[in-house]
Amino acid sequence: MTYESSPAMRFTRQQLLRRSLAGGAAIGLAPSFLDRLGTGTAGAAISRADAAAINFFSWQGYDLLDEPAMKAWRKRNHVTVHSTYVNTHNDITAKFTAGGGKGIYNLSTYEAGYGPFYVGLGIPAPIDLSRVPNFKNAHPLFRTGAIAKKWWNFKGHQWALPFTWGIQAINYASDKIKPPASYRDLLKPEFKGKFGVTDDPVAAIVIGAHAVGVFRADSLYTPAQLKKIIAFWAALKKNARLIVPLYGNMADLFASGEIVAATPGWAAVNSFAAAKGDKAVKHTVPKEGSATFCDAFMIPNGAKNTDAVYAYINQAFSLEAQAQEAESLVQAAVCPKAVPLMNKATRALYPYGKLVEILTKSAPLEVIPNNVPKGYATFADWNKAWERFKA
Amino acid sequence: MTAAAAASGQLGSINLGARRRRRIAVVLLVGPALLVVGGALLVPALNLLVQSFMESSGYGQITYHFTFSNYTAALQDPVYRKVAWHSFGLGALAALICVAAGYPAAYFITFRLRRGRNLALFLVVVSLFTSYLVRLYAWYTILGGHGIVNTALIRLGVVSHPLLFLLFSRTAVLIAFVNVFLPYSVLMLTSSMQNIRPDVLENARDLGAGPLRTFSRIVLPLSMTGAIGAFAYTFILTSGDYITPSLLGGTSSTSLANIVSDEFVALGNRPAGAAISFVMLTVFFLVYLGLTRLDRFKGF
Repeated sequence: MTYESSPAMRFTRQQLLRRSLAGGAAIGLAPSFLDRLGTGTAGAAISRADAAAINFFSWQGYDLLDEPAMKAWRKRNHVTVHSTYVNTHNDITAKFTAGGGKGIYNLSTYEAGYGPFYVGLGIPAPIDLSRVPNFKNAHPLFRTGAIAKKWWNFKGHQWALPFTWGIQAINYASDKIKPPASYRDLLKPEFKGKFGVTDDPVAAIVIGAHAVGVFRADSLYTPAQLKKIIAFWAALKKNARLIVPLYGNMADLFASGEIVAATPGWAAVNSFAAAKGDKAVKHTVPKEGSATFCDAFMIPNGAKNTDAVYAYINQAFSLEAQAQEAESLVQAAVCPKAVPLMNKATRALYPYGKLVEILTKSAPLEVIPNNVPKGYATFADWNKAWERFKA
Repeated sequence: MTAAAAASGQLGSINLGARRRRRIAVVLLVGPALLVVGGALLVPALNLLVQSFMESSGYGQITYHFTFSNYTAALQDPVYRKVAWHSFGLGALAALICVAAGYPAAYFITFRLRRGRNLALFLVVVSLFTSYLVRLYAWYTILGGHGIVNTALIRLGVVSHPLLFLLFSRTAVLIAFVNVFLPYSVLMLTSSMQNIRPDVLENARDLGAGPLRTFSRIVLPLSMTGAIGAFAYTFILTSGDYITPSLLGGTSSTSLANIVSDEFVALGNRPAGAAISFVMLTVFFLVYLGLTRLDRFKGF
């Protein structure tokens, strides 16, 4: 019996060829399908969809599943929420531009700075404010005036409804270390191999700009400044244990004791880690400053079942829901009247009395540099620089 | 004669009918698979191939101008090249270890086990029942700073501080790859070894061949197809892996798949992402073609 004449070998060889072809092609092409496939729950969400279904695509926690006020409302109105969570804000951009999200998800969010960019890409549909009467509970800064007109209400339409805001700086294990006073503390030998750098380019570049002293509220950085910011992160990376791929993963890393700090941080990680049994994770803002975000509900173009979506958004602006989401997300509410309903600890997290001063002067909202004058780094430059930093 | 011709004609028409039915059956049996492969793989692949020769004109936007620039960038960019070396190198090493470690297990299952063979194969398969992600997270509790390995080493006095390189490093990624893909290698090698008749091995021994010579002259050549399959399967899937380097790779976590993902998701540059994907695909084909030449291997 020669090797070539073995029936088993012929079979295996053909099988191998087919598998290799299919496997190789699948691996090579898999990334192109990533934005179409989502993270696994979309299909289930669609198949289970009913007349009062909300198919949500955004950050974990923003679907407000655990807030008692929202839970009771959903039960009362027979509304079901099927959620798919993102890893980065870019997942939202990709999902709604590649065709994998339009018509499937009827509720999402965008961070303020992405507003003009998303409207340019045709992602959000105009919002009918008359169907969200509770939005009047929001602070005027979020409804009218310069900030509102810059990020959520422009070109004659209301594109999104801001419902939460917060800051991003450093998460740390309060039972193991003192809060770092400066981002540069993480460069010290005692932090070698003990902290993580989070894969969040926008927050990282804003924080890096603070750290190297070039921060600008309009995010206009020259290529040289961008290089300086990335060099700062490269130095941090050398001292870091890992690049943290997701904020959810950051909570696991704290809970398992693998890291004692991580930056860019997110206060919501405190509650994610607490849910995993680690209640010592805290969030701190070093002396250089923080990245500041404000997320808003948007209804994507082509969304179905918008009656349920509008009702859901409206309920999310009730004072009870606002107070509860501030507590569960460890973020700030947008409705001033919700503040007295919060517990003392949650109320103390954000200086609500200085809201206007914070968001307009000391910690302005992140800006995505999409259309920038010549000579400044664009958003694509930011992402490219970050891609290279990680490599 | 007329009756014979009529009978012959009838027989011919029966044969024709049978052939037609067989053809319909073949189409019905093969059609669904062809539709799935064609619709879910070939059409998107062709679409992507076309896009790889186009220009990106902003996030998610494509200008239909033919260009090779995406391929030039993919092949010449030093960062991509560095990441490619790491990805393919790690994939090749994982594949090599899986095949090398899979051989003894497959040999034992095939030639040494009699009653327990099915149980052994079942145990190999059982290891695949857990989800990929769960298995990756399990390495935190095994290799982590406070994990089983470090705790044992510290308690035994072998080291005074945890060995941090065990987790969040290329070593960790390699260990996870081997853990995930070794069972597949064992299954493929066992499958190919089952075609080797035990009396061939006995004859070799009777003729004075030692275990090493028996393995190199008989077992290895006759199971080479399985080895090629196991190597190719592991190499392709590990070189293109996205999540394992992200979760376990530490500060050196970027793989080619991460770069492709960044091009599509973060930068919205579909042509660039498509070009890198097709470069990867070409490498996989070349490696596969190289491996098929080993099929003629007759032993050392």
